[in-house]
Amino acid sequence: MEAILVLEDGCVFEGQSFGAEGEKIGRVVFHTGMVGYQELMTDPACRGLLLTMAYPLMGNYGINNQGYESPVAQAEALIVKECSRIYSNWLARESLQDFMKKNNVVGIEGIDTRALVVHLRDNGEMSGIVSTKDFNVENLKEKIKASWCEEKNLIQEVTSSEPVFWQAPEHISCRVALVDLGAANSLFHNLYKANCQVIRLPARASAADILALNPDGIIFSAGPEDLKSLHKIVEKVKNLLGEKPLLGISSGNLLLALALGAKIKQMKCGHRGVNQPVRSLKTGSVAITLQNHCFVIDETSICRDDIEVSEVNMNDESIEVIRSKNYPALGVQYIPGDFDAFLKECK
Amino acid sequence: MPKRTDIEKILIVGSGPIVIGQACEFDYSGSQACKALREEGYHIILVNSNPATIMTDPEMADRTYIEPLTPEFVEKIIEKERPDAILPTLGGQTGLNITYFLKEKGVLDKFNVEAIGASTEAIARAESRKLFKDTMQSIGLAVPKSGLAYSTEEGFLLAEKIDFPLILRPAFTLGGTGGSIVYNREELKVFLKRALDFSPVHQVLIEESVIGWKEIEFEIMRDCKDNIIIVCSMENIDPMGVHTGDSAVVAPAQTLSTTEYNNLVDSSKKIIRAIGITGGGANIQYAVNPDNGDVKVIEVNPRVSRSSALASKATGFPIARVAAKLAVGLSLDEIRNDITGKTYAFFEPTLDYCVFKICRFAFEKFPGADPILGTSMKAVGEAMAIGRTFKEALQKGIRSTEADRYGFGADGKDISEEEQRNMEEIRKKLIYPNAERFFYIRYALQQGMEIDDIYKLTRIDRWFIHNMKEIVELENLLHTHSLATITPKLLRQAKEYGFSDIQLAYILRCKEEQVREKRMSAGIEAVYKLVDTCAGEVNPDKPYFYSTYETIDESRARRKKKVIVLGGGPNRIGQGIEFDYCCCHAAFVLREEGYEPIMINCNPETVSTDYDTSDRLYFEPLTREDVLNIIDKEKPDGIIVQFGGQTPLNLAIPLKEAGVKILGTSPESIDRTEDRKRFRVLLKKLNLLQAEGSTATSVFEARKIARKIEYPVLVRPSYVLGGRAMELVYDEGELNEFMQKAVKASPEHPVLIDKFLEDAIEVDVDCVSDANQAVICGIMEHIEEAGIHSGDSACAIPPYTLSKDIQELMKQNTYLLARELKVKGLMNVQYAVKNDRVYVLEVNPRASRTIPYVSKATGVPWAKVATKVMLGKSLKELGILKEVEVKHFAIKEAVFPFNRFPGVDTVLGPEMKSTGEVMGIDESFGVAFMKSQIAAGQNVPLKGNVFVSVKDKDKRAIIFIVKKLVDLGFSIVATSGTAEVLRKSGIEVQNVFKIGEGRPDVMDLVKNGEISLIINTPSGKKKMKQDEAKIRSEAVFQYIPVITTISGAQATVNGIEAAIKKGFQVKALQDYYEKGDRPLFL
Repeated sequence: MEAILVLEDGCVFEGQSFGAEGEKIGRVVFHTGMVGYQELMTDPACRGLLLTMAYPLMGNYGINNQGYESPVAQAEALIVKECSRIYSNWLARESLQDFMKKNNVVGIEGIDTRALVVHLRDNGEMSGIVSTKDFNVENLKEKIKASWCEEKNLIQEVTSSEPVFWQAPEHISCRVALVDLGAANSLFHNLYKANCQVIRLPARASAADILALNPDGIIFSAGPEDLKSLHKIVEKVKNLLGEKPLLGISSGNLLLALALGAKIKQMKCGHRGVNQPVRSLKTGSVAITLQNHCFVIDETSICRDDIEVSEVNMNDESIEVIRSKNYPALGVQYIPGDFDAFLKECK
Repeated sequence: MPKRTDIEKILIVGSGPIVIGQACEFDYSGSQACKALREEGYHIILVNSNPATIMTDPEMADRTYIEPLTPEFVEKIIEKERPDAILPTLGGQTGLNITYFLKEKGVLDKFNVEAIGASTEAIARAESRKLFKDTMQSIGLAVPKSGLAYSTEEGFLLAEKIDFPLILRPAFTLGGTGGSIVYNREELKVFLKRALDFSPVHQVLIEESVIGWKEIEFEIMRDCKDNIIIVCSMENIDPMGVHTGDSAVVAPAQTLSTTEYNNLVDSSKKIIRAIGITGGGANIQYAVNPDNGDVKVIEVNPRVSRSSALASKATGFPIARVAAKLAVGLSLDEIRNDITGKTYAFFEPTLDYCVFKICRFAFEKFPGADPILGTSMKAVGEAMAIGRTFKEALQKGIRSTEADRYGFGADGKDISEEEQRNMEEIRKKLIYPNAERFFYIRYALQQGMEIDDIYKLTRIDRWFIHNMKEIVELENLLHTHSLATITPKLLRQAKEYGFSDIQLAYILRCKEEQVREKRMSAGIEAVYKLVDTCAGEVNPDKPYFYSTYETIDESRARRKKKVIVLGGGPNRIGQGIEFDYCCCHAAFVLREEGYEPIMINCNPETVSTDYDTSDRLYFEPLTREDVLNIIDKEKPDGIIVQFGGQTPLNLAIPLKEAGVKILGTSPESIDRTEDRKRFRVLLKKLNLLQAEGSTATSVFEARKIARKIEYPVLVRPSYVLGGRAMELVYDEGELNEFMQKAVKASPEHPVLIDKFLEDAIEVDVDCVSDANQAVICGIMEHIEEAGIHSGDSACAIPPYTLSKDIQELMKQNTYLLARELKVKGLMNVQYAVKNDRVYVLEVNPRASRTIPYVSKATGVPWAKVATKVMLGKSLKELGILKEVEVKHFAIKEAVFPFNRFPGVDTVLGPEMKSTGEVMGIDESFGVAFMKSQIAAGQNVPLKGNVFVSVKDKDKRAIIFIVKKLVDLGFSIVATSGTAEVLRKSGIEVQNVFKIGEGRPDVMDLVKNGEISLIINTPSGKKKMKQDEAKIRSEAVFQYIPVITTISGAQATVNGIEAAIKKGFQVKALQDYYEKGDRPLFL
């Protein structure tokens, strides 16, 4: 069966369908990791995205129980060079195709994904549509335009509906309230490993609700880069500044920056991959990080009296870590592997 | 951290001659290191015994020593040059071992030399099995159960604790030499004995087998600030049990789940920290159980390796270059990523293509060798292919090996249909890994065998077999079409699956050209994608390409003056690093002369496939189709085919027919020398002598010719390289035998039969010519007599016995040939001198294997001179008007892979068998010869027992040699015939039985280590031949040097005498050449 991808600028890629059939509109992004398609597709931060995998061979190890970042697929569509007809790994429970069918993720394969990646790199991420039923390019372009008028609240779609008390570790070192803006399972695992007891709260939880739990610290998780929705909760964050130590991760970092008075800007092309090098301005030490974002803090909007930039991206000098000079608040643009700096504040 | 300023002089240790398990990947890494460190301002001292390397070019280092790679010689160099540091991690196992021994001997401490890159402690933690096991266990990682045995008894005790099958790994051997897998006690007894013999310290590791597990490798780097990056993961398609050097490999790993991958990344980081590498890289090998994910750490190499060279070419990340910078204290975030030009070395490369490496074997060269792949490496070379899918990479990879296959079967070269239905044979080939295993998987699939069943027999992951099945399914669909009926869509899909035009022509029953026309008219053309280290995320600076069939072409061909250089493809016996050396030099000169050098090659081990060597690199198979595709895109001003050996030369005529301008000597002239009939006419025209001979197209004709010119005769198929299938034939029976094989070896070409010139001196002459004038590069007198392939014999510059008149005659003949053939570039002529008459044996109007050696011996970069000539300069303009006279001796010696092929006769003949070469250089002939022997690993003794057994004809000549040995203090052992002759001349001899005459016989003496040198000239008689072969074969395993020619014996005795009387000195190449009186390093 045929499938087609049309970008908002009129670029067309024709390929074959795999996974679910149908039509999906969203932001077309590319990811350069060579493994991890399952983690990515189920990561709430990928909600609404049409995900292009730069590595051409997908589905080789199928879908397994370990790889869920959330119980369902979040990406709208998967764009690949070749999806393997078989999977071969002892952990696998089902094929990528079957998983996508069940989760209504539309797939297109057999296209020159490198050409698409280079196009997005040179022209920036943009909207697109993948379809297995309508092949009229003009129609499809219209549909993209029409989608821009739709009001979507991606954070609302992925946040937990009720507060959840996450399983407590044996030796609790810290109790944190986690405002779920689209948190991935691995975040909970990592916090558990760091001996944190986590209370997962819906994005709508008010400052008073959060403080009523009397946590040692508050985390704003990563999630979809839905700026409109983020702007709606900036006031809440402002109210929490100084009350408890705060940590913002990825889109949570953007939220924190807004609360601290900084501005957000869009990069031409997102940082989405497993190999983004980051340098500490204090120690000069460097680290390779996992990232999945295309908005960053606008460095020109930062008031140096209020905010200290402590880490930057080595390749493009974009801001990776900020600290408030007035409150205990830390923002990290990448997906952190440990929480030591934040947990120190919490004690 | 900034680079270290407390060190100034750094000694880099190379890896020596090309042998199985250690090939030109270390020239690649060593040259990168030299460049990287000189950039930083360090003073570089280099030692390597291999003259065919780019790294030993005198301009690569400040001081260059072509001396034997032994602790003794390196110590002399250290004493003379007083380096502050030694960098051992770029010279393979050889470099690492030497450094380790120098440390043990106290030499490093005595001269205050620091080992950088990997401390001797780190080396020990990786190399010593005991320390390694402890280190891994201390960080919670599993290793296979194992124990050390020093005797068969200890081995059997261990076998009670560890379950069969067992892996035997002799200590301190390279590339798994002498290792094996044993399945029962009986095999243990036999193979353990052999393994103990192989290990110089008689130590064998007996290890639990993880046969059939997945073999996964990681390339990892760490700097002094504890920054760590994973450069690349690689998955061996062949499971554990096949040496990784023999395995087909894909990058990145294909069948690991995210969890497994991440766990291995974490383990790798723990390992590199625990081993203690603080400025360099490591290769880590894991075995992963495909049924439950269990992981065992198999091996850690704390240095650059064959795998790191592959990973560098696969990702574009230059591991050796970065490793060298880390070794002097720089950190990853301070080093630029050259490929992107915008990012830093501190990042992890990502791929958006699939890389496939496949090995080239040489079993056809060693009749009697065991062709089953196991724990001892047997491959002589490798090719790498890049595709957007595994299927494409697999098919490109197979045709890159140049083993006369053009993809995954279906190329008209498969076994017969009847054979393809022999399931019993197919099963056998699937169970026992062999060089043709992938083709047998294809036959099995064609016969309807299930993926699961093939997996159970081969333990090759189902994912790979499934992909092969998809190729077979498409092939079967293609079979239902003809050229007329095939749709553009299907044709495109076939190209996307990596099918070559040759395969398609076979399947569609038409000509290759027709397939090409059809697809061009349908707009189905190859496009070129970039290898950029970052999967498209950054627009790269370096143009490094591979082809695929997709939509967007990124080749961005420029409108500049440009020339394509065709490389030599995978290393094989007869075509190796020497040709790559010439290709690199061509690229260097093209750049100097304002041309854009474009390189095409598919050998990941080489310097030519370094993105830095040329301006544009195409990592592609060297077939007509693939080369023409690139020519279509680039539209070069010319193409150089005379540097890459036979591979590009074979393409000369097809390329010329396609309208490409061939630079240098015309293909027409090349044909006049390659076609033996035309060659005869040529020599006759020039009045040059040639051994009598003729061309035969049938057995009958061959017999007639042989009878006329009289035996012994030299027989061979025409158009071959490295003397492939060439044989010396003594009687009609042997001739009949040969004709059956030969006709099969080369169906399109007739067989040549020449009178064999017995006891002639063979001479190689290289010259450069600009079509008007020719200048001799060097005259090389062979030590062994004619009849032994020139690539296998030792030779000397300048000639050491030839008279001035004879030399002059050869020069004149060479000029004559060059003028007649209008040679533009290099030409090699082989002569035989007998009774003061000079015969022409062969003319090759191209770069020969000897060019790098001649260049190092004379101090003139001849390949560069030749390139300039090809671009239109005259020799006069270049100031090259007369021959170079050298005042020293440079001896080239060949190195053989016999210890890889137990039971194979080591006697040399017209078919080339050596894998590499070394050079000994000194003011005296004897010392230079001795250096060449030591460098080649010949354990030439200075005292002990010499066993002498020579054929009747040699008995007179041997007397003088043996006398000298006795004078030097040796004792002589001989069999009755030889002993009698010697005794008559007043030499004291101890008699020994021949095999079968009684015990103890000569074999017993050899096995008991009572003999330290063997002089044995083969007699030619059948029974004798077999016995002699056994002795020689045993001697190789005992590391006893065997000399099979009188002239070789003569030279050895000269060498021994010189070594005893004069001792050894070391001298840098730069000191041999006098500046000013010759056009040094243009």
